[in-house]
Amino acid sequence: MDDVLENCLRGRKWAWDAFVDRYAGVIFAAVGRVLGRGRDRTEEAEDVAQDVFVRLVRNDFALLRRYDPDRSSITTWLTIVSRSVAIDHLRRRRLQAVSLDDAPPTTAPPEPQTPSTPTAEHPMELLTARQKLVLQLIYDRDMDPEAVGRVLGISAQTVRSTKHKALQRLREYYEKEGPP
Amino acid sequence: MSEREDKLGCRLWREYAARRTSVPGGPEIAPNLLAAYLDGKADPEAVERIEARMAEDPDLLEAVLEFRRLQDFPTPPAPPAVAIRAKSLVVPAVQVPHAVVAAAGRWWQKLQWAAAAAVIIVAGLGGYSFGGDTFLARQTAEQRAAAQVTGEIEDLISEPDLSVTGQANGSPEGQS
Repeated sequence: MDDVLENCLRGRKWAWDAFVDRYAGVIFAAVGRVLGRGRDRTEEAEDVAQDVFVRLVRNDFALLRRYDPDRSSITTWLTIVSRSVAIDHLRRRRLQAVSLDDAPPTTAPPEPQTPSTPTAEHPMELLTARQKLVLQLIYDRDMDPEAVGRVLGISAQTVRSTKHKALQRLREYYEKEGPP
Repeated sequence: MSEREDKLGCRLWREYAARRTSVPGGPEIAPNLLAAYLDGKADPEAVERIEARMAEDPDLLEAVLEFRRLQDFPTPPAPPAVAIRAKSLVVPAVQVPHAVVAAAGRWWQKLQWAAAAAVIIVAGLGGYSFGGDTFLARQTAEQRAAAQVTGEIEDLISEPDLSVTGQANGSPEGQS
């Protein structure tokens, strides 16, 4: 743990000021990413960023004490925490909007979605989580193997080989079951 | 991979995605664990667990994608108001020099002695005053009682009982 963070947790004012100077940008950027852009949004992002700082110091820095320097950088951790606070903020805002408007009458719960071909449920182990993710990012989000590799923290070559294996498994499966 | 092969791959994926059943979410991924994954420090088991969740949870996948997008650009500085407000959350502790603390300690000790002496004096004076008042009051009451008794005796001596005298000497009417 670095000197600033350590002294922050001891309640030293100078350390807290240094912490704010160092990470206010990270927190504000993460919050702004969730809230979107615009003049009104900037003010809102300032409030939410303040909320992040409040949560960090509340109850004798209880949240900040949960950060584990052995597992990640403080920047990454703060980005996740800030994003989470911003999403909470958006949820509360939506709830307030619903309560202020005339709430629509309660409707019947939606019908459970049934697959288009009811007999064709896939075995869960057909593709691994990583294979599913790779195909999802390539075909649903139109990302190239380099970008997928950056998202998953693996090389582009690993992405290509994962994709190849995944498609091979699907092909074999559908050859047995009949063409899609 | 050729364009034709890629189109076939896309068709296979879409078919699979349309027919696959979603997995229940499971417990929330803790910020420390997700941060470890993003920094490439999570163990293989945790990586598998997080990626399985990402494959089923669009919100988590979006969080990871957003984080990577943020990484691609340098972080712009926050507006000055953000830092000013945040800094005000922690107030400086009052720093008192050691010499002042030591001097204050000596004075405090003296003050304690003075206070103790004052308490003793006040208690003594109060006790004397209260006790004196009580003594005087009692003395006065006793004197009054004694005076009353003396007065009554004197009255008895100085004032003869007429009724008794009358019976002994006989009334003037009886003599006549």
